[in-house]
Amino acid sequence: MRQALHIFKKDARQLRLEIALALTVMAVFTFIAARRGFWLEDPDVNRGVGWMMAQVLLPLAWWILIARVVHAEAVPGDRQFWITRPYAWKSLLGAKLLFIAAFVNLPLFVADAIIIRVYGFSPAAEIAGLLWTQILFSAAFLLPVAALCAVTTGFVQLLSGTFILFVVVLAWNTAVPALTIGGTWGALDWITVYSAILVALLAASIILIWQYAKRETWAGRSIAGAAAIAMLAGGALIPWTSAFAIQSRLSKGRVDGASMHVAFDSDRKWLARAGVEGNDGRVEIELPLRIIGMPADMEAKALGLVLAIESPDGAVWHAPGRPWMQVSSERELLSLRANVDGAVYRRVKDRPVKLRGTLYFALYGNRRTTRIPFGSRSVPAPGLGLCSASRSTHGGKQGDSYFLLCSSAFRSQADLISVHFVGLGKNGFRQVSPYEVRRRFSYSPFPADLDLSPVSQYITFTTSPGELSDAVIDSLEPLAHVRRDFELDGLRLGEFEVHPTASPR
Amino acid sequence: MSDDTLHTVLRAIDLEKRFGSTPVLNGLNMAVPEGAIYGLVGPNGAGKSTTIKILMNIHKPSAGHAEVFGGDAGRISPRDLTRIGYVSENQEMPEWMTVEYWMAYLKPFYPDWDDERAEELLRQFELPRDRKLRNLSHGMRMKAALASSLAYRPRLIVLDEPFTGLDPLVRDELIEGLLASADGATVLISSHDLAEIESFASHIGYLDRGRLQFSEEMSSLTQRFREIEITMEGTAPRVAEWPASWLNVEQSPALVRFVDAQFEKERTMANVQRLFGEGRQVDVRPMPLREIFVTLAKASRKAA
Repeated sequence: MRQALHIFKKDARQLRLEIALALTVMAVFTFIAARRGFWLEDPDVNRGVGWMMAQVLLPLAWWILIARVVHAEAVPGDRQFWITRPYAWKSLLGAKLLFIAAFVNLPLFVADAIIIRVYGFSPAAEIAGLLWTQILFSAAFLLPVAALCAVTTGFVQLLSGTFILFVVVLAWNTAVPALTIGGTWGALDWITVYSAILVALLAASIILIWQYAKRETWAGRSIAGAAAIAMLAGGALIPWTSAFAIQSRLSKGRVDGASMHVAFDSDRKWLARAGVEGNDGRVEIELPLRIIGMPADMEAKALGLVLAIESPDGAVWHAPGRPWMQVSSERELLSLRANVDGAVYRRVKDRPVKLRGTLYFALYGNRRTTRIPFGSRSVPAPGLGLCSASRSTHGGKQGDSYFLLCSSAFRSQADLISVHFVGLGKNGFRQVSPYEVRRRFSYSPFPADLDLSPVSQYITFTTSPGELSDAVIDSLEPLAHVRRDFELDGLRLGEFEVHPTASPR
Repeated sequence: MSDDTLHTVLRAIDLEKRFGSTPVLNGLNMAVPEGAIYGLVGPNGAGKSTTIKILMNIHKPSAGHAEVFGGDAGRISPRDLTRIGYVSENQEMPEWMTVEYWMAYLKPFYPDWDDERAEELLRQFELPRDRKLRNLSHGMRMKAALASSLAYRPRLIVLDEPFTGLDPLVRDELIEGLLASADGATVLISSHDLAEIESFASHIGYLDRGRLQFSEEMSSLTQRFREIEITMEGTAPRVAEWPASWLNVEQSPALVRFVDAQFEKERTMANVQRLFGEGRQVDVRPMPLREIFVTLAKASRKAA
């Protein structure tokens, strides 16, 4: 430990300029991030470009700082002064990690605490998020960068290595766009993201220990290459159904769903359609479904569906689509969606078929309502964090503008939210639905998301000629993730057939 | 463990090293006895630096085994390194450090660091304490490197081509500093220039094309090599086979010239008598080290 501290002090002395640069960028980032929260109240503050730059410059400053400290005692090569000096590898590695902790993690921790404090959160209450953010950044960025630096001798090699990894990722995303990590599974994306982070953490740890203990650079570089591929493939090749199974195990609520089953919604039979598309004969099937036996005061949100069509002669056709794309849901209304091969459809369309499927859905409950008078600030609202409601008076025919701005610390919530603005004017009670603004949504059980900004925001607004008094937020929290197998027997798909209308010339 | 092993500080056994498909060391065997000042010489590309880097665990051998202080060189520990001073001509140094900070930084790594000796070395080498290493001349950098490697009284000093590119004055200062501080330590010093080390080396190893051609004490080496010139009164007889220890034999009708690599007066004269009989004049001349090596290099290439 004494030797590690000795090396650490030397590094701190050598890299004081780089440290000052990184801390300055961190201070600028903190300042801009802390002011972002009030843009509705202060529209003159233009922080768009500054915020974007801070988000690019901060990781860049960290990258430079880590590269400089690791390369101060470069591991590959045969000319470095330190390799014939009595350095203990554990002390050297410890010194480098201590440096990263002191000049990247600690400032980030302090900056996050300041930013969330400015937004009205208590850092003490958010300590889990503060700490988890450090773990995530260390695993996903700081340690992998340090590992990459440990298998390179200088900036030129490091840039080349980074470029090669970038090309690998780009090639992967181009070759198999469907398997890109994150961005496709919505609230379940966190599972692929975390699996990729786990691979990155494991690989970085192995490379760092291997390199500092053995100094066998080609092995270290091979591990880095293999890890890049494993990160992409491993993270992206997790089947959606497995991800859902993991999510089910992690669900906090235990719901007795034994009585629930999925059936064809004959009340909405008119919604069923088998749309024949173009000359290739591909048919898009859409069938209304209903979950029967739902526990009282609960809502379901369908997340995925797996489907097979069984014809009377026993032939089975499995829908090739991805589970999360084969179902849509709007509150209690569920729709099965599948693209059926033209030849299969023509063979079975006039015969009663059996549709076998599995529906994957989340159950929401524990409804809570929060009423926030316009003009109020920092009111806690379940599922949205701390909310402020404001009114901007500008007269005219359209009336005033009403805003609801909510901030949540470290992570987005997975609650089902509905927001409406209400008022009691001279014409009686008014209820207005504001513009729906898409918000981030994650079922992650961890206290923080991987995001440079510790605060995520939700904004919605409307303009109303009549006076409104309150924003009302209804939230339902996710209690369980459930899968149900179902069979729809005796359907004749041809009954629902529709053809596209010829376009007018 | 034999006495020989006990008193050998550095040892290479059947050492091989390849870089890609290029062989650099081909079954090198070498032993540096304790207390020796061992000069490892050979032409450029002979494998001197590679040998030293394997002994210092900077490179791994492709085959064979290397030992330092009787232990596997591949497992050389930080504790071992507190007893070893290593200076290389092309070693990178932390350029941003001043000479004084460089010495102060290294001090805690060595339990036997001697402040007085460090001061003395700085004075002796006339090193500017407050100047950054990047601003030192090549000679000054080598002095700084040597000073930092002698201040803790190492038991083994390894110098890899330390005099390359130095002017004679600086070279002499370095040698003087080294000899004054060696204190009975074992020294391994590599060089491609014999003149640099023949004045102070106690042992010499000659490395060529990855093999140690010979390794012995300097005194016995200079004693066993002699240049011999035989002037005949008539025409010299044709000799079918020369003695194996006669190298670079040149023969004209009345003159035979060669180098005897195993000179012993009686034996050499007996051979001359046997091959040329009476009626000749024999001149025996001791050889400077440089000539010995030129002879060996020529003989080695001829044999190859």
